[in-house]
Amino acid sequence: MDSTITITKELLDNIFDHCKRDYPYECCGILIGDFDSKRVDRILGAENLRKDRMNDRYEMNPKDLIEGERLARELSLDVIGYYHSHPDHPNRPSEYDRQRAFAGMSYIIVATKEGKETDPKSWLLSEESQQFIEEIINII
Amino acid sequence: MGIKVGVPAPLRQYCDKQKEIELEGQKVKDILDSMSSNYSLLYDKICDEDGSVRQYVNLYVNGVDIKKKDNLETQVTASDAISIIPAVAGGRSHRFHYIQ
Repeated sequence: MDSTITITKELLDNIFDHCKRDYPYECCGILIGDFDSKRVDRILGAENLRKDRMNDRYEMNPKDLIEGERLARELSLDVIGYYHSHPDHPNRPSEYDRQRAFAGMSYIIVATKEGKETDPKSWLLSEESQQFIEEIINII
Repeated sequence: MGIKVGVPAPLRQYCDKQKEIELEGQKVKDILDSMSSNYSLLYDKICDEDGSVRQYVNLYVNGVDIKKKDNLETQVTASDAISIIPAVAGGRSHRFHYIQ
């Protein structure tokens, strides 16, 4: 069955703004919402700790991950996934992404071309196959 | 009185859909032992075969990574809260992952 993640245009634009602002470096953030319906209600930008390779790697600051969990709990929501950018690179997950992915979470990857054009895709790591499956992004 | 352990949404299927479970123990390793007895499928997602916490899973006691404390020997009391939080990292690569 196809998986769909729902997000407002405003929140998606906020993610795009983050990707453009941090270009040519990879940015990252947290998706907070309802896990069962896969609806994003909030996003939280996070610090990329990979200062040595910010153009092609990201590692989310654990402080931001803890803050994401705290905020989700306060709002009676869940952390349902994460986003990151691929500057001047396709929005497909790399093997490096797959090895570090957590099954059941959604991963929105935004291809950011020359810091101007943004193109998102969302991916879900299958628990069974440990392979990424593309999710439909339902923009409302 | 047990120690509260927050469970990330994708793993709640392994603990009767609970956002938080209570487990008994005085150290983090005791909590994991209790998890193994009471929620074995959840435990398997947190720890590997030799009992180590999996590479891309982090455990926090009151927001502090157990690796910055005494790791599995970290003491806990009833007022403490443990969080299971995935490590989140990745990045683009010249080698793409095969996609279904």
